Amino acid sequence: MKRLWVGAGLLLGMLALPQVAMAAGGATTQLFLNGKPLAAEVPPRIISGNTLVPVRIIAENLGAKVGWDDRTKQVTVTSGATKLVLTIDKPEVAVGDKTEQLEVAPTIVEGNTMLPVRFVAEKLGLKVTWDELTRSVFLYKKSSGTAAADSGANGGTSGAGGSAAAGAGAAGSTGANAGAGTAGGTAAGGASAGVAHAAEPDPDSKPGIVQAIDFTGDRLTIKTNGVTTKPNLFHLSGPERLVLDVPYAVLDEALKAKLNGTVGEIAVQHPLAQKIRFSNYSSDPPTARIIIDLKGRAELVPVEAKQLQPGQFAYDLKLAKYLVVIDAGHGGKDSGAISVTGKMEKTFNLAMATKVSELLRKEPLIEVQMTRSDDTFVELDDRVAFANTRNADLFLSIHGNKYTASSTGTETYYYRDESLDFAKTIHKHLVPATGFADRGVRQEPFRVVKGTTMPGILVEVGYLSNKNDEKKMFDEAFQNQVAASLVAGIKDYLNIQ
Amino acid sequence: MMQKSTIRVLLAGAAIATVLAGCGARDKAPAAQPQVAPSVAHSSGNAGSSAEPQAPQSKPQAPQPKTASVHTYFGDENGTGLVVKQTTITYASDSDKYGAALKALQHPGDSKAVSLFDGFTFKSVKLESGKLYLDLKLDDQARTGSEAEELTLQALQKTLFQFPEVAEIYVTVDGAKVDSLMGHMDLPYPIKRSQ
Ligand SMILES: [Zn+2]
Repeated sequence: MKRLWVGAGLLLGMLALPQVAMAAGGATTQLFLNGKPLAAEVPPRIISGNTLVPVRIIAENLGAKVGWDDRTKQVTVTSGATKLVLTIDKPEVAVGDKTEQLEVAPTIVEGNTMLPVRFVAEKLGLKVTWDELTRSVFLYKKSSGTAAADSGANGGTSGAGGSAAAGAGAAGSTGANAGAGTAGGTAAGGASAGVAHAAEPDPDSKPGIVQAIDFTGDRLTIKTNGVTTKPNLFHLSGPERLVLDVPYAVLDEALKAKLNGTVGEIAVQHPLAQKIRFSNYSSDPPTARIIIDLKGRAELVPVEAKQLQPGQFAYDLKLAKYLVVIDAGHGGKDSGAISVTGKMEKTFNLAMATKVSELLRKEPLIEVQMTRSDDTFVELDDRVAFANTRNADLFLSIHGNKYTASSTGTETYYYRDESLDFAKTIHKHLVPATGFADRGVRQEPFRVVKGTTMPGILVEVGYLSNKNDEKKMFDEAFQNQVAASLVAGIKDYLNIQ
Repeated sequence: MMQKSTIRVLLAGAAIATVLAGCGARDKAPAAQPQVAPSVAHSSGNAGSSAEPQAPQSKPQAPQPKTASVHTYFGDENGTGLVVKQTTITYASDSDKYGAALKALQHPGDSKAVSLFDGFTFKSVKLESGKLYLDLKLDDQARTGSEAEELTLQALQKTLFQFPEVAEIYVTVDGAKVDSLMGHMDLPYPIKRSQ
């Protein structure tokens, strides 16, 4: 019998074929672990009211070992003393030495082995809830020890207590916790994976109480009786909203009285927020939820605990900045093209990238990072990874061109279709600024525009092999003018005034 | 809008299209079939006879150099496409044929074609059971802009893959593998025919 252990990563590549699976209603179902979204390239599927998730989720996030037997089409899930054997297309599951029935059999969907998440997670000792409001499945991992809950009662007034609890939680945990650290996904500020997990309270203790939700100025303040831990903060899009889950807490009677059905509303007057909603969205485990419905891109920045009363949590609602990565081509041992007067392309690229970055730093809505800010060599793949791992919003690579002495003009390159609009917008601003011939927006598989996952383009400002182009390209005023045009193009594309 | 590089074929003989079609270098939508337009042949050799490189009947045991008619690839004037020509190369033994074809890429012969290999030294060129090992040296003047690097890689592949016995190209620079020849394009190791 051939057995491959998924935990060892052997089978994952085969199972994790990218695809987009949609829930029956058309909206994507999201999966959360302890309030944090699980990043899965294959979204969960709903079949006859049961949510099926790719086996990868189980293996990576729930800490179970997953094995696959190709001959018998059986999936073995092992965690501690728990062993489940599921068979593709069969509703019978072996749980230890007993057999149980599933409502929906495991299945293979476009190459992905999909398992019923509630059944498997509950057998592994997790709590599972379904939230109709957001069409989300929430998984809760219980951690050992009440020390974490006690430290939570300090309400963040003691930073030392919080980190001590995190340590205790990790020490007392089984291998099942290993996945939690990687499950952070897009969780915003405040919801540090390790702490949030370790602070999961003992389900047998009395839930905390959310006493008041206040929004004044830019600040959202949540008043609790001090029994609850730090809320889990995450971002959902389509439509844009920020969600705060207060773990192991319920709304107090005054707030409950304001519920219209299950959801209450707070009207707000704010340029970034439409309204605030709140609910007791889950009773098992009890969790109070606060949602800010946004008008656009925004983030919640946690307020330091020492500025607050015990039991209070506060966040300032701010515009979310765009992250723009500026890539100066070549560098270090790679000089790039040598100009007609012997100057190096890498020098031109760095001068331009530095000027562009300095201008972008003055923009309140833009954060800028450079793949290199001095004369160092960076591999093409590292430039790509730099932008991708930071989840940048835009990528701009700056180069100087070389061909024949008579070649002249400005070119903008893109590769992926999603980058075309960005390329066109930049080119529209860049060409008049250089004053060179317009050599067009072109598609080529250059590494940095091919590998980046956000709109990414490469500009060839002008020809270093051309006397006229080159002279201007090393002129300070010309460089400033071109840098300003690239910034104008970025702002134009991002719709920033 | 997207501009595809064009390939101008300055040579008669429809058989060329077959050779070119087998070695599309573009890592994107399939390139348009090259247009085969009758034009002036670069060499006075066997233009139009056959696209396959061929050595004229060599007299057995005769130590005199062999010749073959091969396709050579250059940048066009605009720097957005390739120009293909037919060139007669001369070489001492079969193992020297590939180096001779590569060196021909440095001699475009007319002002409408641009050598993409100025500043290149083909330090060693060896074929071992279908694997062509090519070690390069690049002078300062060899490094071009992004589009010209793309054309350079295309020209290299089209030149070497016209020989049916070449299955893969293993390019090194000064004896070492590099991620990229000039800092814009990937340099696969090896370059396969499908790439
Ligand atoms: Zn460059």
